[in-house]
Amino acid sequence: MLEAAYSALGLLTMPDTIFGLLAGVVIGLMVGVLPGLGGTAGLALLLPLVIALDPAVALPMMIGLTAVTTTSDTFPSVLMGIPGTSGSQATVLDGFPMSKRGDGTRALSAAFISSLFGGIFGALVLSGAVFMAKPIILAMGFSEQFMLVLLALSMVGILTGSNIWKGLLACGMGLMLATLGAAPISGVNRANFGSDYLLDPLPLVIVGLAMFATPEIIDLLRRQTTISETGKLGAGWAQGLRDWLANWWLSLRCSVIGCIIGALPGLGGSVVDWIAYGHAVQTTKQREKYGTGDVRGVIAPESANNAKEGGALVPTILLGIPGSGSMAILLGGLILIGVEPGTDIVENNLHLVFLIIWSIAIANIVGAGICFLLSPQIAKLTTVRYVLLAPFMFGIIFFAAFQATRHWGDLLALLILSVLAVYMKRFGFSRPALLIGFVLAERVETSVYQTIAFYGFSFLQRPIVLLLLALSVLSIALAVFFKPNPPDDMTAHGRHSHQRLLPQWIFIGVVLAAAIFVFQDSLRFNQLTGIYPFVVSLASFALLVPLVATMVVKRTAPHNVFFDTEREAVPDRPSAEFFLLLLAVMLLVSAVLGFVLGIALFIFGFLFWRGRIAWWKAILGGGAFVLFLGILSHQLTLRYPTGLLQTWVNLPWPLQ
Amino acid sequence: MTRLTKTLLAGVVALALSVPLLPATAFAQSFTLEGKTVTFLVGFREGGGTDRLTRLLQNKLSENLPGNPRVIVLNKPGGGSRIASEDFHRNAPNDGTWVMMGSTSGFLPVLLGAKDVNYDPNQWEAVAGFARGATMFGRADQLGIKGDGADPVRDFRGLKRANVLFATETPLSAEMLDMVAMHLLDLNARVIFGVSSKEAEAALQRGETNANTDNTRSYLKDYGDDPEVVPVWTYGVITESGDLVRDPDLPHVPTYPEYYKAVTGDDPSGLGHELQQNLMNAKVMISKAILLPRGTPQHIRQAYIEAVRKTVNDPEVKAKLPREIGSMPINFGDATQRALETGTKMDPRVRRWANKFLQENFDVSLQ
Repeated sequence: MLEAAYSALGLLTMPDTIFGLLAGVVIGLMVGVLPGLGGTAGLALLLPLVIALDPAVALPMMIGLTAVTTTSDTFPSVLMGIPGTSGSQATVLDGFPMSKRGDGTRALSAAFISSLFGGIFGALVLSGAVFMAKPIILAMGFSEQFMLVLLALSMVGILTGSNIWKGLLACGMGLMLATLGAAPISGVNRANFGSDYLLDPLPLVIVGLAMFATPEIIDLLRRQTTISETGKLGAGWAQGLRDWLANWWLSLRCSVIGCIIGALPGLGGSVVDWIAYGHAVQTTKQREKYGTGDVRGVIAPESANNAKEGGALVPTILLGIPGSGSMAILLGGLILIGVEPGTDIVENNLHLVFLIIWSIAIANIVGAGICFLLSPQIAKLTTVRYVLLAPFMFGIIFFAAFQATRHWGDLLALLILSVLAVYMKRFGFSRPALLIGFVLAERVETSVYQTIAFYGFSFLQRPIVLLLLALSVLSIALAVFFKPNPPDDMTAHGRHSHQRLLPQWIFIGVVLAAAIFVFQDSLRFNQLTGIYPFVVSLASFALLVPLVATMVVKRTAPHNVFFDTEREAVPDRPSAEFFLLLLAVMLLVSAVLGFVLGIALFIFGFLFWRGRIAWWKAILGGGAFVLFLGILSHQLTLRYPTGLLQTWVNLPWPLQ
Repeated sequence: MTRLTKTLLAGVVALALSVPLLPATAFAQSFTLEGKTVTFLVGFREGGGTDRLTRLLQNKLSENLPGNPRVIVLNKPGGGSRIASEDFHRNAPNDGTWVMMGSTSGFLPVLLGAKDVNYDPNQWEAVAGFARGATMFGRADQLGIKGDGADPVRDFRGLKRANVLFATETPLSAEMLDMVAMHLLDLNARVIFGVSSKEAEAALQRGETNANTDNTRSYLKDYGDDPEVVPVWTYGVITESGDLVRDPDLPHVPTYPEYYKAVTGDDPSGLGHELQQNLMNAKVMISKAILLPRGTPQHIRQAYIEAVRKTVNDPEVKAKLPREIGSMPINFGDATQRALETGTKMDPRVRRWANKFLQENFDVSLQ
């Protein structure tokens, strides 16, 4: 074993290998920064290259790339409030408020050191796990996976926001959102509104972008002139490092969580950050600061999401069974270069395993180092007039959404879900709760059925099941017993005001209508297809009852069940609806001229009329974005959504 | 070339094409893709099996096509390649600049008559088909089998007694082949759905299930030297003369009809057997297939057939191909078209049988 470790290290002193690794790291950092592009897109970019390369170069290149996308994805999450990859959605919750406070650099520095620590920890675990983990992974049967899902779902309790019923209902909305499209057990199409887009369920990336990016961009446009309220950058460098040192124990725990969840089957990588975040909140006494810029809310998910990569490699290498989406494509890449994961690699090619481990460690160090160096420059974005940034942010999130399935429906889905998210934010419905419900929905549906089909109720006699069940109960208890203090500002003129409730009632009505729709749709199907929408719509009805009852009973005074950010003073600027309408118009124009021209015109118009900058500068802005899209389409072999125009004339690159 | 000679030449080509007796290959020379970009459409994400095979061929295909066009791979995932197939059927130009790597999951909805399928691969022009063997295997201890074709009759007794547990994605999938196979043998298997093929593999490794199906190549990679997990039967491969022969990668293992005959004494027959043949063609014979859009002229198709033939015989590609598809022979042109037809068209009586089977066993039906 030591011999293999040395020989792998020897490989990494060769210029070719180290060059491969560095190239992978740089590409990984670049795709990680761009929302919507993550390890999957980066590996796709490499696949044509690696075919021709020597495995000793191609392997570190691919590993270097996957290892660091969750380091650089912190930039958009913290600075812009746009999740860079699905691994850093939770980072937005506290990272972005820190930026708004002017603590962007501090948040970034804490995030990078956490990523670095988590990444190295993941590599360490991987080197041990290669020899020991197989029995553990094989002990995770269908029923154990079901319990993992339950444990993850129990985290919702802690992220419900100020009113528990609204939080749980938001989770129910996420569960209902996942009933659209093909049913995972029978393959039969549930409600798809006659569109082939919904042959598959809605992509997670789009739900994530809609929930977090759009409402934040719009909110900023309305309330602030720059991201950083002070318009300045805090020093924060060393402060971020000190923050991490003060919370090293949390960072370690979250790294362990990341590794375990990444390695075990059942949850997949996309909830790791939420579980780490939930864990951080659960284990803190004064938790009311979370969500308003608590650095622990950055350290926890960032430690976990880099540690996850090492964890997810365990089943990928040991069993040839990928632990996450980017691992699936990595597995494809490994096969393509002739490296066959599975028992064979551990028994006969151990030096390759160590090449992977060393590559992860070095990539994390180099990646975090580069990010540290760049962050003071990049953080300056938070001091730029936001109205000049926003149109590009919109462009980027629509581009990101389109990467999900490269279908027109991606753009529409983002717009529709964005509308939902803007009102959820306005009326105080927990968007993390919706997201967790949505992410776990498919696993909930399949694992309940599979557990019962395989074991009946005897699954409750399995020891790991009982352990996980106990943890879930504990997690729920923590949520129930340590409720955050009631928020301040319980006045008739604050957010919790009991006056002018009509908009809130309308929103509740829409949720009710959605639940009725899912319910009646479920009746069309047999049990295999219909039981899941049937149960989740009933559960949502059940949650609506206490919510509506509280709203009726407490209607005479301010109460935490009422929430409307529009009751607070807002600067005299256009409403959220205005900006949503602009986006809708942008899509309409895109339907005629194609996405590239549509978004270019949108950026131009936005910069010119709202940003009030010179017309030639605005044209330059739109043109630059077209160029950006053009380069990406060329490199990644993309075809952007076309409009009517493209069916008549063949436009040259990059206007296609 | 003057305009007159061009017109004349075009006339000659048109005339030649209208004479079916002349081999179209003679005119392959007149077709060139010089300076063009060929889009190779893949209905899946990067890194999957279909994508890997396409990328393996990509560069050499460019070298072997007339005029050496640039070949790019365009991934358009969604609905198990259904979205890409719809797009290809409706929009792809038939001038040789668009070509698709189809796969079983795109053909199956057509065969099974799924709702809202608006494409018909039968109208497409088949270039080449990559057969990929499939095998049914299980855990020797739990099922009481020896496998490997050593003693089919004894294995059958074991299977009849055992509590066969089989996990798969959905009832309407390529694994219907295996479910019908077990049904025709009167084997009482419990089938659990909602399990992806990767998860099914893990479930077998954990011992939660005891029977599984996979392509031969993956089976050999995962369990080739594991005496605990043994193959019971394969689905064989159809030769150019139309005979079903054993899987070259598992030559000891009987094909399903051989197995059926060994344990029941009869050759398989009837509507269930016909359904098996439809499914076998879709799953094995055209596991992956290179296809040109409908209405593509025959000389372009011939040029592609030649180019693919050269590509798969290129030493560099040839060395790597078995990693993706095993060592089954590749079929070309009309042989592929035949497999495509059997794999995507079902006789109405067979459909009725299939519906009854699905309804009685899993409470679902073809739409």
